[in-house]
Amino acid sequence: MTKAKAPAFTQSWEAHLGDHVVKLAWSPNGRMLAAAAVAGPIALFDAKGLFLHELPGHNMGTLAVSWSADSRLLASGGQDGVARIWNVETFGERCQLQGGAQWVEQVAYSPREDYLATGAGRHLKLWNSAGQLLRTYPPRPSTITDIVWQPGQLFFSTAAYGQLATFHAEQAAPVRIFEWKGSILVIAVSPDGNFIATGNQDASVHFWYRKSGKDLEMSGYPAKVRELSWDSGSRYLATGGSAIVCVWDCGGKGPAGTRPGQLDAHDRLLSAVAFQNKGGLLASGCLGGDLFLWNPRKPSAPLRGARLEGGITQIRWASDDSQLAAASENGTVRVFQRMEKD
Amino acid sequence: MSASSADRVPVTVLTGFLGSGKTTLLNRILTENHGKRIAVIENEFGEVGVDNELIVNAEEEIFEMNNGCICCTVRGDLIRILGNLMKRRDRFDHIMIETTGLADPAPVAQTFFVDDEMKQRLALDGIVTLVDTKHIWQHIDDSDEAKEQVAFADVILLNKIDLVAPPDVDKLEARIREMNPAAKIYRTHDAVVDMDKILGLGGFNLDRALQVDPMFLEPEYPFEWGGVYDLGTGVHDFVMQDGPDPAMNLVVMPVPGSDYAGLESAQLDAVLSFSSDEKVAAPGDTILPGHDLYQLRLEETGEKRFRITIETAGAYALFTEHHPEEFGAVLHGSGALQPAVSKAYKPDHEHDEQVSSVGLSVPGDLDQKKLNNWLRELLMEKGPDIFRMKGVLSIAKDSRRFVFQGVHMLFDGRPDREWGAEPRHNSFIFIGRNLDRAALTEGFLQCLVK
Repeated sequence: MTKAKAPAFTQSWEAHLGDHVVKLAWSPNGRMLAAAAVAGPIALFDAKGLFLHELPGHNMGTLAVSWSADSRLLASGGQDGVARIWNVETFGERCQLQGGAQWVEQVAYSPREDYLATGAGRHLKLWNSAGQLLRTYPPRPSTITDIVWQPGQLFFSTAAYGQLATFHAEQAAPVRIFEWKGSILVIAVSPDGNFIATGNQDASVHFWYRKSGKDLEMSGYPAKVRELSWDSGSRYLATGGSAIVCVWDCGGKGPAGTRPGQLDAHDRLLSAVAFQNKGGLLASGCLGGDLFLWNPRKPSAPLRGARLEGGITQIRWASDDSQLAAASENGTVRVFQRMEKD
Repeated sequence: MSASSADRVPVTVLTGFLGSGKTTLLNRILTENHGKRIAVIENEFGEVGVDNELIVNAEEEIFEMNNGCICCTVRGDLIRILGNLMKRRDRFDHIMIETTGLADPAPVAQTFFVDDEMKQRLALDGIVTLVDTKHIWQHIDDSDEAKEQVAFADVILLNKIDLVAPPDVDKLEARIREMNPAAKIYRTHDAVVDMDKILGLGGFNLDRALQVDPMFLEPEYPFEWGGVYDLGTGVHDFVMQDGPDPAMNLVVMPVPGSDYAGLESAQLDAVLSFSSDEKVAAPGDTILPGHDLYQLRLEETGEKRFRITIETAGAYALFTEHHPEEFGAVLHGSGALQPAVSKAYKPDHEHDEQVSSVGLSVPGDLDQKKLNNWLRELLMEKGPDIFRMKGVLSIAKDSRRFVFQGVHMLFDGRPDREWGAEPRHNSFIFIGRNLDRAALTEGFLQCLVK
């Protein structure tokens, strides 16, 4: 990059799993990257790209992974009906948790305390890292499609058809329920906790002001929306569901009646969007394999691009934004490193 | 941008009430040596179990959309499971979905039309409905699910025929044929059927449906029979014996010639006459040629004579509500007369049947814009009642056949092979509830290029 202000990223390393990468997750300390293949195995790499180990994952397929806050444990869920907790120092399996249905599609570690939420079918459970079942919730109205912890808090939200529910880790009853007749696929909570957005099967994005419960809906997407990301300032929401990244400005009076910023460079439907954790850059990936880095304030063209073989499946920033990892359907994992300024 | 149909994995949906034999059929499909790798998604917990095939149990989840459109209702469980399946490296040649006995087939089928991810990677190959021949009568009259499973089917297996007398199977088949004339029907015992009859149907094939019932695209008529006679001037007697009904409607009209062309030229006029008020005629009364509809009263037992008076010699067509054979009816001049030509018509059913079909087959080219407008309005208004819609169309200025199928208001249509030497024509069928044949026919005809 020639512009002085734009941070430069360079390809740091690449690995090939040889199978569709369904999940990618940096450990919170940024020292490890976990990549789960659809058939089950979970590959662990260090930050320099050194292959550390392959965890067996789940027979029939791994569906979800999540790191514990201290980066020592990795939880996974899969098609064998259990969630597993792995010790990434010994690479041993620490315990198995019965999810309650054949597919454990959600595992989500609290970023703060030792809580692990699992979702399997309609069954929601809360555990600790010792494998103790802390709570079994009444079944949700339909299959749980997402579980998201609020950054820095003990609240987590679950999505299902018809309902978005927020729980506190220490209470059995939900603290908040938003009813919405539709199929919610993903949740994105703004870092400040004020907004909760969902991407939906009916090609819309729904949006709640957490305090007032007031809601908005952005419809008219060409496809169902499975890609959502908030910027660190809780002002901009990037959405997929199209070949064009839409960036909604939720500051001030909110996005009602406004036109979103449009980032138009992909030639296929988007499959991942990710704002940096602290900075303002946005990465986007599509089914065609293109990966673009944007400054959403300068939407006319991406800052830079790269192409992976096979559609992009996951894009993840390390917590300090120094590294960007992307994975593809063909099993490529590629990591970009921020160039340190002299 | 979207994958061509060749890349898409075919999906067969298996419907049928509990006990109709779905599990038996599945086991047969999985164990038969057909060289295909098949993944099965089960909503009904049967006892399917074969080592090297993938079988996923799923709980049926019906997702209605926030916009309230029932035609956008999809099956969330299938989207999740199939979405994952399509990521796997060990690709499957075919996917079978076994629905619960009470499943509404619409959301299952719609899933493959509505969801972009499914649409791109999968293609609905066919809906196969198993019917328990012995017990279906308990459901067919009052169960919407049973009716819809029949109406949605591309293939219907009348299973367990060993438990039912053949005439009863005939009766059932006739009944089912009325509800869905486009489906291919097979009679089976223990769900034994050739795999190529249920897998690899390639979506809807209208030619196949025409093989099943060559008359199914023909319009229905309010009369069952028409015949043309050469009649001289004078009085002719239409002589009827005892028959099944106490009355029968009749029209006599002059036609240009005593051949099929003559008969056909009068068909439409006869339809109009049959929709007018009848003139009651008792035995011995006189009937005049023209557009009047006569209701012949037949309550008396024994032979009944109606007098047909001809003033100008020539060719005349008789159209009768029922087939004359049912009444041993014969036209007499100086002796018994034989018609020069005659034709049996597909009768207009007394549709107590809520679920029925309307088929059309017309030559000519369609104005694409008019067609689109008509379909859009039609589907907006009647979408929920139109279960399936299939057709091969001749679009003006396109040298290729346009084939499509639809579920409620959703389409999957594309240009197909060139017409070539084949005469261009339009074949179209609607299967649904409370269909208005006249309105559909008229709407379709006005889309033709003038």
